[in-house]
Amino acid sequence: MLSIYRLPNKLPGEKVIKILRRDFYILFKKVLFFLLLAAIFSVIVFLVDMYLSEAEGSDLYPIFFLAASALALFVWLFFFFSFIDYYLDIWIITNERIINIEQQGFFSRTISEQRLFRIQDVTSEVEGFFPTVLKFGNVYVQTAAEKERFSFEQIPDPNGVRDTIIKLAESERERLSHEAIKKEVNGA
Amino acid sequence: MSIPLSIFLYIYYAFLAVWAVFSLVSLYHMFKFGVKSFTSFFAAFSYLAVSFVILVITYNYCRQIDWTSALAILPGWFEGKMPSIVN
Repeated sequence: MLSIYRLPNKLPGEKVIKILRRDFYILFKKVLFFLLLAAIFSVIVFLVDMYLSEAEGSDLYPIFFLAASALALFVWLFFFFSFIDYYLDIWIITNERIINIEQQGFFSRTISEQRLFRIQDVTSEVEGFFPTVLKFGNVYVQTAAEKERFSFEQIPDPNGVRDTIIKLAESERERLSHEAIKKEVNGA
Repeated sequence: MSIPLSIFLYIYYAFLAVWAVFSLVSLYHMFKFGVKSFTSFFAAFSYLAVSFVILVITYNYCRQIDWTSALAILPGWFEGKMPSIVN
């Protein structure tokens, strides 16, 4: 299990600045969808139950019960996995790098990282009614070497996160250039 | 024509096996990659608790059923008693 205080491949002197997940609204939407699904399921079970008890269909009742049980288990599993999908998508900003951990479906998981000194451009994007009102959106990080953009998706306060990354990248570049000058002076 | 009721129980077992595999994968992800926190344990516990309740209710109901009995499919249709068109 991942501990916030034990980063994967932790670098010497590395400190966690921010741990980000998708905005709480995304989880709320998933919960709402699950509740809607559960309500539809309950109404269907109620109606079928009423029909079977009225239409002398007691022979069919065990089959109906098993089907309802299987469906309930799968709806519950679907909801649990939706939560995992939300909960295991994490972006970590440290003073040396940014780490993207993403769960994609049941059997796929991606972990990628970028060193801060490589960052060239950081863009934040807030698009749509709910993202604007609730202040969440995407942050895209462009590095020198990468063709693809490193993206933080549906995170709260994307503008603040962009500013943090820019400041950290600048201070990291400054630190590295100071170290390089020191090495040159010591070498000479 | 009739089919044994137990066939539906076996189909349910097959569903249950698939569900168990996906549940184990989900719980594995939660414990292996989740952040060590109260939320992780609470989510996993809630999932197991609700699943357990559904399974116990199903088991208690299934216990009362005679699974050796057969279910008649479309009674009358296979005994020459098909509904006729009345002019």
